[in-house]
Amino acid sequence: MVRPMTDTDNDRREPAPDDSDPVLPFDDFEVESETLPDGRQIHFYRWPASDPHHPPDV
Amino acid sequence: MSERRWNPVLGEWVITATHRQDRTFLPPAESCPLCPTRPGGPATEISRDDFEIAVFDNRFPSLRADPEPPAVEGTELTPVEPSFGACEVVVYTPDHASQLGSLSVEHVRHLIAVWAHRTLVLGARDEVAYVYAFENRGEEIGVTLHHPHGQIYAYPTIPPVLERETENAREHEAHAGGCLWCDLNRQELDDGRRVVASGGGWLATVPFFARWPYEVHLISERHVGWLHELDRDEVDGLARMLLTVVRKYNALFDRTLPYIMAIHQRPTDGGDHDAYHLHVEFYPPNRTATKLKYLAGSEAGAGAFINDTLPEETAAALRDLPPTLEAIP
Repeated sequence: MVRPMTDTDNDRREPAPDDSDPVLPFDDFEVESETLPDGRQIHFYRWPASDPHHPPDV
Repeated sequence: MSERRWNPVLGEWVITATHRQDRTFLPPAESCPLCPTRPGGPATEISRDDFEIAVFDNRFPSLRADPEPPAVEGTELTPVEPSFGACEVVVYTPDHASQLGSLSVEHVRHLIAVWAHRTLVLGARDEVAYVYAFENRGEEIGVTLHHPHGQIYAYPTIPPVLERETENAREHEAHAGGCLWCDLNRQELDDGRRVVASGGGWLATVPFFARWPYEVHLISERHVGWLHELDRDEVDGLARMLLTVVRKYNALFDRTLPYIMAIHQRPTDGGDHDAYHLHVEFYPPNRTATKLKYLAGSEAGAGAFINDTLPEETAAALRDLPPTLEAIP
């Protein structure tokens, strides 16, 4: 099966070069993955470019 | 124990997952497994003391990459298969008392990025045909953990509702020459009575054919199939529209309204699904402040929904409630 990419509109984007680390066109984040003691995976998403002291949620 | 059993009568798979009977059920806040592991505190599912958004494999999955062999043998009439796939939990925030509707626009944009990224990662797996991100909100829906979170299921086949949608989209395109959801958007904008909010590249309506009294669909104005195809402005628009709808829901009966939020994207099975159009569906179970819509005889036994309200009236009620899309900071 293939990754979900299309060329149906005028904003075509090439598939990411590596399926394990696809790149999104609209965001810039980092993912840090760990293996939990029971073998499950956990992924922490971080946005280094964002202000860590962004306005508080309402 | 988990497996997929074929129902030849309805032509669909049923997943058994007996181990889910033992999953954590409405723990007190101090024992929440989705809170960060605080220094000196009990270990939770989250191995760090802080995070922005975390995604982890569900401890009680219905679908998994390495499923056990089925507990029973199937037959030619009723085959059984291992439950290949994935079940992930998306923890929106470390703040236990928060909810989707109280996050900032920036935080919801990040959440959309996570949904999009997980769709790409899981959808690239050979055994995955459909990636479905959703949120169950409220005990009325069956939520067992109150910490703000959603889930992602990666199915080995296209689930029945999505299969029907893809087939109907393909058929509409063949007969009408265009996208089913683009045509619905045009019809709803021309009519106006069922519009809840519009702007930012998105239209929110109570659909003409709503099954739930306050059901709302968010459909992108541009014909795209997956979240990762959105541009920055459309992601910002979706974040604001999600906040608009959820905050209107909370204003409706002056309480946190329970809902199911379903993100419908194209399948990832490699098939021709260009006719399919990305959209988000909300199904709140309430028909009044205190009365719920149940799936009873007609709905559960015959598959025929009966809506006790008029979409034109429920849309007007939601449209008139705060906030407007423009008021989202």
